[in-house]
Amino acid sequence: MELIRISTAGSVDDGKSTLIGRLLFDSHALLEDQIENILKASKKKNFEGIDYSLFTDGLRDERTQGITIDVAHLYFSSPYHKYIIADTPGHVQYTRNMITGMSNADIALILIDIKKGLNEQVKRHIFIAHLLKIPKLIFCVNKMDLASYQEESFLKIVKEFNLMNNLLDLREFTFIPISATNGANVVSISSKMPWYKGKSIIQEIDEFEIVETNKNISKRMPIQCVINSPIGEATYRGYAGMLTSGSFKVGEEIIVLPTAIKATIKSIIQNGINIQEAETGSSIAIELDREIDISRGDMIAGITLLPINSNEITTTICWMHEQPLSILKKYILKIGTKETQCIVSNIISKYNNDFDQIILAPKEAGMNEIATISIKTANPIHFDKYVSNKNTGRFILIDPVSNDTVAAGIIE
Amino acid sequence: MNYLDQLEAESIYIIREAYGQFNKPVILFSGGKDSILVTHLAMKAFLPGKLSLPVMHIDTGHNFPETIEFRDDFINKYQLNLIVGSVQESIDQNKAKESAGKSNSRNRIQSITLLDTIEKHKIDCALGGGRRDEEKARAKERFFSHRDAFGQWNPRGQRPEIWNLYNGRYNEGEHFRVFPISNWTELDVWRYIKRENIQLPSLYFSHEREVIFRDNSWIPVSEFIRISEDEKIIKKTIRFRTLGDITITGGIESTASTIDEIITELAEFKRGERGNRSDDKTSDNSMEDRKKEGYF
Ligand SMILES: Nc1nc2c(ncn2[C@@H]2O[C@H](COP(=O)(O)OP(=O)(O)O)[C@@H](O)[C@H]2O)c(=O)[nH]1
Repeated sequence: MELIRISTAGSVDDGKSTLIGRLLFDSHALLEDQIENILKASKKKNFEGIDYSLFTDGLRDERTQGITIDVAHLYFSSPYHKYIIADTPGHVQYTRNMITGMSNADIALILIDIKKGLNEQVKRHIFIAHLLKIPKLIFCVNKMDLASYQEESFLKIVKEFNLMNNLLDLREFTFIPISATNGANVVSISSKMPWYKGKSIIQEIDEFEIVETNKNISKRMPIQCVINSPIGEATYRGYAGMLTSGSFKVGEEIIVLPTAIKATIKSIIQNGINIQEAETGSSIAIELDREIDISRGDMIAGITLLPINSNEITTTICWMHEQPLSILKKYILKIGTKETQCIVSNIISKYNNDFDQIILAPKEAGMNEIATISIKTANPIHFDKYVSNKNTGRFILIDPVSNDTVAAGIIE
Repeated sequence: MNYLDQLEAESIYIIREAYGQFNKPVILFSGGKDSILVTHLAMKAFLPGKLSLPVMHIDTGHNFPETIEFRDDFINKYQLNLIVGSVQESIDQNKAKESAGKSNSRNRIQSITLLDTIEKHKIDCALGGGRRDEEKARAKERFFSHRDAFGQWNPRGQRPEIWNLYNGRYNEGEHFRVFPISNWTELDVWRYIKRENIQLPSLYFSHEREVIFRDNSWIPVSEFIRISEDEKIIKKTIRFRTLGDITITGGIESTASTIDEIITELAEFKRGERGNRSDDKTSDNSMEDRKKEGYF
């Protein structure tokens, strides 16, 4: 059984937490004491029955203000998969926490309130899901009960999205009409919407399978650390890291970057055991047939399909800090296990708040804005385009004074 | 890849990141299953080399004797470096004050000793066995969780944590808590313990013990608790789901004496893991409040 990571998205009060609570409740993933506590809390709020959103709002401020501030992680299994759900906040102020939750997702459940339609924040989330290339998007049109479960209202939302999609050109997505509070089309198909011929949310996610887009293309392993260990008279010297794409075999020729020295793999150790071949996603240590100076931040790659090597990149970023992006400031760029100083040499463009217009040469990019920029790094870096290799095509920017993570970027 | 292999690979990645990014990382070791698991994974992460990170135990002085015995055997067997922070010492130095009340709990003041020990040894990263499925405030925690110069967690202002790019940069006096097994559930932990044949303290398996019934759970009788007249000491067959300070760790009635039996029992369970710890029952916010003060 495989782990599938799901993230919610959507504006405040669209029903994200309620949906997750309902999903867990209906698939019997909740414990008695959790339900008792929530029943008590629901009563305190004068809520009739169970307020499902209370299952995920875990911080005091969240409960007292009735909003989600940060991502909550929840776990459940079905007979088909094991799931990790990131329930993310919808409030624009906490977009960075939503990106935190969505960045690793295989599936995004994007909620749209039938009464509100695609507001600015939903559009922002859709745009971010598109940018991150989340493999599967499920649009859950929620609160169908408030629209008497009518098909017309549902189709209106679909139409609104299609308009937006002219620019995005998303292909892989599904629309499901639901009522989170009533559990309609969440786990079981509701009889209230006979016009809907599709699947329930749980059916959709159960049928999902991870397609290894990174398999057998480029081979990449950023080095995390070096392991030295005496074996008799000799010393074992292994380069430890996670194989983020492709596979490596013992005896295979590889290249070490940035030095560009070639060598042959002498051994691969995973969990202390010698293996012949390592697959994508494994944490391993690689020993080479010759002594090379390698340290954290370097990369071992296959000898074909080399990454791009440059000190200039063009990238689309989401800015995540109150202090706007400055072209006068130095930042730290972190890609894989490498960190290097950089400056933003140019803000090429940014999107307007409705994500239907591109503003050229804007003066600045502020919190939650999505901009295309040029970056110059102090040292050349090795990278891929995000479309061809996700792991080595993405980075974060760190403010060296506050140490805050200020942006997430994907390389074009 | 099977999900246990996925979880294992992720945890090892996190541990290596902590090792690569910090000057002096340590592993928080309580003798409980989660910290044993983290130590086990950390040993794996550096094979065939030796684990160079020390393990750190915050000793409340109110231990199960079995835990201390297990700790010492474990340290010996794997030849690890042990750092001990003593709550008794903090009390003797007037840095901490024991709470009154019948449970005489030292749970909360552990945070003082923990932060003191971190400062004394110039530790900039403490790897803990916290899991997000344990509790609601923990469900909000990052893998790399920043602590300010006072050791405080600021849940409202956590750094974004995007992809697998962990930002462990900090200013003078601050430190990080890193949680490599964040994404493991209690059942995952047990399945992995079985698969890897990891040794645990005997307390996790059912045994007969003298207990009293307090706060809805079976609290072990020890020299550290005050037993009031209306509390009756009886013998029960119990086991513990979590291990902590002996004065507040409640056992559950169980006959599960092997890992297989525990896994079967868990699959049928209806109550959460921390439900038998009186420290977590004080209020809906108790974990968050303690975490803000620097708790594990
Ligand atoms: N009528 C109706 N109300 C809903 C539905 N789903 C959620 N709500 C309500 O919408 C409000 C916001 O829900 P919540 O889950 O907290 O939204 P979040 O901010 O997206 O997590 C709550 O008052 C819910 O009870 C639904 O399907 N129908």
